[in-house]
Amino acid sequence: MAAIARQQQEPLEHELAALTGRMRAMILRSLASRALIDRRHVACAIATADARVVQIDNPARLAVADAVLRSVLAAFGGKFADGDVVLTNDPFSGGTHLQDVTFVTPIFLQGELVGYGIVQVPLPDIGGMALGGYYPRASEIWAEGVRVTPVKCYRGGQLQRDALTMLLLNSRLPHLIEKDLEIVVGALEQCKTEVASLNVQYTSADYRQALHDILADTEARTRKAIQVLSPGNWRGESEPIHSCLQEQKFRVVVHLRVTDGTVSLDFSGSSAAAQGFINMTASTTMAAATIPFYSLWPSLPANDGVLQTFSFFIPEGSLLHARLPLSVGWSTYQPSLSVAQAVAACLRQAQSERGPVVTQIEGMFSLPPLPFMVTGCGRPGCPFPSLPRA
Amino acid sequence: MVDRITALVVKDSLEAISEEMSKTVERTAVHPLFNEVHDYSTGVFFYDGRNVRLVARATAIPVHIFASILSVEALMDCFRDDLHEGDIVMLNDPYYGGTHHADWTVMKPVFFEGTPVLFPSVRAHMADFGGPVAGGYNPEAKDIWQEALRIPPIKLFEKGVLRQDISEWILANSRIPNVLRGDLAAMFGACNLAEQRIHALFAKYGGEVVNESIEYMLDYAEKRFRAEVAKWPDGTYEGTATLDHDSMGTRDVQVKATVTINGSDLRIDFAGSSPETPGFVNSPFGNTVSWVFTALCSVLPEDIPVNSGVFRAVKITAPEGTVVNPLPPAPCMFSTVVIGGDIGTATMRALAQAVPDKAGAVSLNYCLCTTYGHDSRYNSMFVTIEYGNTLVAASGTQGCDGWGGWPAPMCGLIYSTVEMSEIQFPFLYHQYEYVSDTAAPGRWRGVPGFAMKRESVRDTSILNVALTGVRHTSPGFAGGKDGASSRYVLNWGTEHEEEVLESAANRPSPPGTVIATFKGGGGGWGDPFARDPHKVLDDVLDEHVSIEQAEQQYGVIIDPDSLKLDLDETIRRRARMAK
Repeated sequence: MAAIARQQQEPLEHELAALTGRMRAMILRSLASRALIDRRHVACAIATADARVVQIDNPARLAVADAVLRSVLAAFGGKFADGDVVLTNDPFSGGTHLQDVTFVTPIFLQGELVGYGIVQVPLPDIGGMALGGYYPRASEIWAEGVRVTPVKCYRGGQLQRDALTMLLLNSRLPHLIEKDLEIVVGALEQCKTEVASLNVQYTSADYRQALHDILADTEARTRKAIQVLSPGNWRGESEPIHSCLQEQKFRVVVHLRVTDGTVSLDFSGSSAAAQGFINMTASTTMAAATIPFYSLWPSLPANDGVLQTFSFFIPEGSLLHARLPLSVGWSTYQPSLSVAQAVAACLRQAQSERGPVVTQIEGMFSLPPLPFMVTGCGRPGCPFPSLPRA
Repeated sequence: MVDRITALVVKDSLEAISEEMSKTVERTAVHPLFNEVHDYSTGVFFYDGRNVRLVARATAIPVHIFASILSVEALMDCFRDDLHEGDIVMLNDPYYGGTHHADWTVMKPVFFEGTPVLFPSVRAHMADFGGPVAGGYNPEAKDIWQEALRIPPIKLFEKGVLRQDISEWILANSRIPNVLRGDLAAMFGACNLAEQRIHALFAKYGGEVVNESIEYMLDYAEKRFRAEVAKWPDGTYEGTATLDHDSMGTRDVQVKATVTINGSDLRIDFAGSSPETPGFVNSPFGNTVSWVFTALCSVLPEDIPVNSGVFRAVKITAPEGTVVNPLPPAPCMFSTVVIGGDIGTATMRALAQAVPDKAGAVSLNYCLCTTYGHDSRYNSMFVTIEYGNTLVAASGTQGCDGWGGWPAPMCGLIYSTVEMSEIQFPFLYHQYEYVSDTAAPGRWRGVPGFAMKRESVRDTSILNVALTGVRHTSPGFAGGKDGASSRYVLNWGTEHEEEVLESAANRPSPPGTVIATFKGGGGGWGDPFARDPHKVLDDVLDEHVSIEQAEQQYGVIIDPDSLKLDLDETIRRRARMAK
């Protein structure tokens, strides 16, 4: 049985990658709000029945998908019915910022849970002080918008009309969100159908074994890649981050420890949490920290096998692991770039001369040309245009 | 047909159920907004398959009760075909028949022979529900999403089972989720208790008797109301009222009410009112209706039952897009007091032309201060409305001085005590009292103005302030004088002292800083020179009025040494001044 599964592992890996690719294409082609969102925040993933992400089309969101999935399972005690779709945008339920909403659906075959489909898309607006949600003066998350903790928008295939109405009512752009929700649910349906079909094609037992092998193989490949790095402790620090609510500058400091096949990232020494919207959740920090590694090893599969080789220490209450109710709206841009820069600085010290090198990653975090105005404080170093306050 | 006695017993039973619901909430809720201030209302609604009717309510906040009907209608519109025993539904959205985000309506259908017939309901002002500003009063709000979480009609319990995910979603949007959880549980508990009582009522009298009794009491209220209106002179009467500002730069916002009396029919139209404003004073239609009925019920004999029968004879219209019937997403958080009070005033000024003896002030004006922060004693967040500087607006009416703290529209509210406030929040009160010579003169005077000084202690609080009643104060009626002008000072007694003229958003109040407020009282009713001199003497002895003002405002002469009334000199003085 195991031997057969290993033979099937590679084609299955390709099939899953193709599936998330198709989901992504379907979503990006169809999203009603596509002109208003940052497409780099779209992610489609498939997880195993024991909630390990086995394929994600956007490696930058691997750690986030992992954290949200765990949070969703905890919220419902792991109990789901076929046809359930859970959504959440809550940064403090494993998410990033309120603008990113994650959908999770369980996948059943003949009554047996065989995995989860996951889609993350940006919301063009979810209330709060500023259209689009980027409000530099937000000192609390509720100034940025409405938290949606894990909630079932479909139960057993039945749309929860009142929950949907509540979601839409809290957005300035409800028609776009309604359409986007339909599209995401459509993509998840496609995911379910195809995963079910794979389960039939490979048989459930083989499918499970093959997924296990994919994860184990990725973990082994990652360990091998890490072994090319120079063992030791490396320190990296970011450029200062501006806050519109405080004079002080904020910094990311990381110590990268490379040992035999594992890396640990210790963010002790980073700034304490800020008053404004530059704080990050732990999952956002982890997601940003993995990006330089994917820059180093672009062919590495994006799944939980990679995360098994990483350990993180992110002090709670710091800028990089903010506690409720701090605001986190800007976390996926400049603060994420700072995390990635600090980690990249470590990696440049650790990478061998003949090995791969970390390429430019700045482009991943630049603000896309969104139609929403982000108004800043006007002080030197403020990256946002300032407008006189009303 | 049910006999009159039985009908009245059923009516009183339903009112007793409402009262028991009210006591249940009071004794089990967590936030002082409930258990001290009593900022909630309970009632029972009836649905005949077509219309929602209010059939009973406990003594409560008029603005809650009248708007509740529209909220319950909105709930029925959404769920009428999807209600089951054990369901509990709720909403808070101002544009689903609500008033402002803070007032949440919870309702439970009670079934008789498989059909939902009666609907006990609690409407309450919740302490916090997300939004950029704790408590929801955001003076900088330019749209409704800048105020707080919007909850449309939503089912929170399904067949007796809590929808945990929906509940957690709502709680996640409060700064004080455990308090909110407790307050909601109190509201659910009251509805559950009412369900038991209503089942007992049906068991005792049967569905036919209960239904006939409800129809009887609705008809009775309508009949009594129409009989009263029929005594009023037919005609068209206009009244206006003006609000100082909307916190966003719009000043002198106008409400115009045109009341038409035709036999026993009453029509009130608000054409000519100001367009909706950028600031948070816009009044959703439910709120406007509430304030119209607050004014109307103030001129009715008090033994007329307040139920939907009263509303049958009244037609209220307000042009869309105006400050009295705004379109979403106009912000509206402040509307339950202002511009609400101005809607009441405009209506009352029109009514005053038809029934001058019965008209009087129903406005409130407001010296709003929501405060929130972290209380280090309890290591938890707190959110509260400062009631000490929002009290006192009761005006004089025919036969009665302005009394106590809350004015008639908020008569169900109770003072929060200084001592409990200091225990529950990081405050220390230095002053909390009436101020002499601030009561609006009249044959029946307004309540005096009220001064408060509150210090922040231990922890820094965040303040949001909106001040009205500065230029357009509580109005006098029938020759009575207007109330005093309100004031608000931040950092009182320091070099950073700042007088707030309209509003201030997100102001930190570090330990040791003091806010000093003065809330102008109510208006007077009738000519001050017609006031019983003995009552003026009482006011002097109570230090509400000085001896000098007694003479100047009332023509009453009091000997400063003996503090005795000089009645002869008073008569002469009044006669001289009358010339």
